[in-house]
Amino acid sequence: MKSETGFDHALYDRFPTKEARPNGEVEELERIWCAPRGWQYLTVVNNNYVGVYYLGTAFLFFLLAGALALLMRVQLAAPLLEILPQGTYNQVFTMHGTVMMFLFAVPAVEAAGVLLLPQMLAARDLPFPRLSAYAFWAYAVGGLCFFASLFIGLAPDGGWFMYPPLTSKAYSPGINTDFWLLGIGFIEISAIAGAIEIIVGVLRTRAPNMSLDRMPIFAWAMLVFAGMIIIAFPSVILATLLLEIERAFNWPFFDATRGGDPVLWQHLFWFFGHPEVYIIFLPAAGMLSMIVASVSRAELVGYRLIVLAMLATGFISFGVWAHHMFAIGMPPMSNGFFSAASMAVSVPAGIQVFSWIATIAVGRRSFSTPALFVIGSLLVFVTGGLTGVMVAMVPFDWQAHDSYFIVAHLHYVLIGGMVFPLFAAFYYWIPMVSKRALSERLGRWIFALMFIGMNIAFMPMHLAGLMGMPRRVYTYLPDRGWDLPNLISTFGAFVLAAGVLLFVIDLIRNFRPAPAEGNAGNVYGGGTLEWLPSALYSTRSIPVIHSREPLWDQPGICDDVAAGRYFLPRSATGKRETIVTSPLLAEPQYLQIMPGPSVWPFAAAIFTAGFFLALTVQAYVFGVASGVFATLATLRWLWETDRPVKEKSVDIGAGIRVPTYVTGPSSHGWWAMIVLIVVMGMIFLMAIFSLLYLMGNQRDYWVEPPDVADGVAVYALHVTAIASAMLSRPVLGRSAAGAALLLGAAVVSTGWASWTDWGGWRAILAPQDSGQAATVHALLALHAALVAIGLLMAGFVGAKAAAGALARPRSNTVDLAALFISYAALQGFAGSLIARLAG
Amino acid sequence: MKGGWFLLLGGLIIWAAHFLALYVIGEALGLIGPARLAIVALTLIALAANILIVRSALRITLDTDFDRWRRSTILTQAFLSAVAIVWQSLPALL
Repeated sequence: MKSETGFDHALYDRFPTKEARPNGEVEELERIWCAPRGWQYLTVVNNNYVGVYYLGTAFLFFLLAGALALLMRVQLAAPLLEILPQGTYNQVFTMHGTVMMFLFAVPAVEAAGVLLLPQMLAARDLPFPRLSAYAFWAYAVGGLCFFASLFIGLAPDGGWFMYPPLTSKAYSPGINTDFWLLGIGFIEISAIAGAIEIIVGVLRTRAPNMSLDRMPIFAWAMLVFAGMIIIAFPSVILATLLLEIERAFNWPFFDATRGGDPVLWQHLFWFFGHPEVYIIFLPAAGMLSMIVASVSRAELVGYRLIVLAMLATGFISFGVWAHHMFAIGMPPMSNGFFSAASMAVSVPAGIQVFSWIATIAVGRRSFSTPALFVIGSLLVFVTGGLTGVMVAMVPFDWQAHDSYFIVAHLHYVLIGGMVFPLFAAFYYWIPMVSKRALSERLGRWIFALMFIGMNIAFMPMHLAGLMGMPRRVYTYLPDRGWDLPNLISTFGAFVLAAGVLLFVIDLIRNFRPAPAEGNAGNVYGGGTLEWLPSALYSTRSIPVIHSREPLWDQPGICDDVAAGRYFLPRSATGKRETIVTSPLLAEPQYLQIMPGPSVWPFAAAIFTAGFFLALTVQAYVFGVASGVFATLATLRWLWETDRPVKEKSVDIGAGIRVPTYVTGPSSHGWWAMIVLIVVMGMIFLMAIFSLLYLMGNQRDYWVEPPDVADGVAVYALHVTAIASAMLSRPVLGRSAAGAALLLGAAVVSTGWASWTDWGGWRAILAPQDSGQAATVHALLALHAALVAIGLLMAGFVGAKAAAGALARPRSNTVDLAALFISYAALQGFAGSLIARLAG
Repeated sequence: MKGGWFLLLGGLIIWAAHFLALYVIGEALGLIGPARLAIVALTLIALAANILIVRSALRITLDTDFDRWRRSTILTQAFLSAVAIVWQSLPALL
């Protein structure tokens, strides 16, 4: 057997072990992973709790955004109604879209990952539980405050896509737009934090021997999903940042009269916005694949093809962003490329649909509630997919663009591709987290109402759109033939809402989450590891698995796991811990000591949300104070992590020993930093794209940049910074203070380079002068932000060195700071060079 | 694991690079003769890169289930990537 890390696979034959386990091991696990009490519910970090909080909050936003949809439907039930004034209607439709996309859809699937993945992979928890808690609280507090803007008439009103020039200061002078631009800042941070957690969790904390080909399809879906988030979200982060800077400081990124371009916003927004659809769809598809196999009691047909389809969707979805822009006058050849890609992306979706149909066909027929939602999802999603192929054709899109046909199409795709699968998942997985399963009888009624209501609501919108009804209008004139389709749609919306209301009643009657007190069990006979007997510490022992459905193929696995006959049947160090495995073959590599509950992630999240919201309402003093407190809370939280470990290696079962502390590219922290660097790299790349785009489209406003050769000193300082940061790693063995000083010197060097560069640019351009000037200054500002964070990191390393809290001769804290600062210098170097070359 | 992730995702990475290049050409040059020639050349290069991926995949020894899964995934992906690359080029070539 080939090995990825040198681990001998013959060692797996020692499991399940035969000898009896000593008394007291379970009690110790229960003590270490104890349930919270009172205020501790706010500081809890276990995925069992955070996942439920997360999913519950996302569902609350679904209900709130659904209520907004009903308001819109009442307003549109008949022509010339005045139930919602025009301005309020604009706020309501903007908030409906924004809340559904940013506060419900993405967080809901991310929450499902946080809740399900550790159990599905048989890890004790995801590798950064405090990060999950931080992501949740930032999202929940910020999201609720953001939603509350509706009640004071300050909700954003420019549509969920916020196109300038409508959203520029000239046409949207109030702070409504700022609420959107800054208000979703914390959601972006939260989504990226969750994505880092999921990528590292899926790749590094799987059950031993769960090689990639044995990974549950949901884990594959979440991996691709998280990968897409770190590629797509930076684009919208940059876009919102630029538009907010334009509004606040008059830097003309999107002002065509001063060398900016509003179409640039559309590129940046849709480079995020279209993959967003697949970001939402893929996890739901993963859920469907798991549920279809279980309820049909059959192995999923075409596992390999589904994995391939998910990967292909992840890639191709980044080649379709401009199909939202067919009507803006792009070059015909570009339209052709994006049209072709938009048709091609339906192929992987089709592969998955056919696979599900085949699995249902070869398996046992089931009409349980999850099965009904699966079938409903297939029908609705395929309908939406077909109209998607229609609008992928440029001439048709020109006719249907901005009409109700598009509203119908996107709701079929999103409800079929995400909402119905999520309801299937609720019924399927709630027995895992609740002492009682949901009602099958009510579930069938709920499905019927939702399925029928959904079709009554949205099918007529196709016709209304083809008859010419535009989107986003608050009312319409009679005698255009739109009255009847709109009345029917309103009726259907209320039928759909009745189904959701009945679901809420079912939840109130039956949902009893109690992670420490057992669950309703494997009601639908699933074969994957989340159905192993579990408690707050996840499973008693971590099994070696030999197939994709171990519960079907490995008889006795449940009893053996519960009896502690596999890996890590006890706490080896007396702390929270899990096994870190290799990414391809899941070979055990080391024991990760995990952080426990803490108030600091909670505090950091509250102040992060406070920072963004205070800036929005222009309470700058409070905003700055919140930012400072958020930073301090984060540093305090990190202070407790990455401590030297007393035991160098421990027995994790059957005499197999692994180290307790690993640094460098094998460590999970290194992986997380690499993912974060990808995020920062994407923000930088999109900024470079912006510069080149404006250079290509606004030549009249372009000035000759400083000469490339003039920047030699700047480049040399950046290179020195990289060398200094990387040197800190080997120096740590000899002197902790020396390592900290080298990191500090690296930050000063790259910061000085940026300052010098800025001086050169300032002599020829002020940021308000043109799109080019604004973008170059934005590049410098992005680098300045990295320098500021690098300075904090170097100071943190210095403080840890002074306190003797750095592990030596190698330390993850130093490694990660060195990586970050090196990246910052590299970005500074590249930015400086490209800005000079872009002439 | 020689090649690792790059080989596993090779076909898709080639497709993505090809698409990005097409977009840049489409935006920068439009529908002029040299653009078409550049697209033909790019498409041939991308297809050749896919052939290299296939060659590497065929060298994987099939000792385990994982090897078999990995090889078949790479090969299927390379095939789909080749089809997608040709499809993606058609708007410029027709």
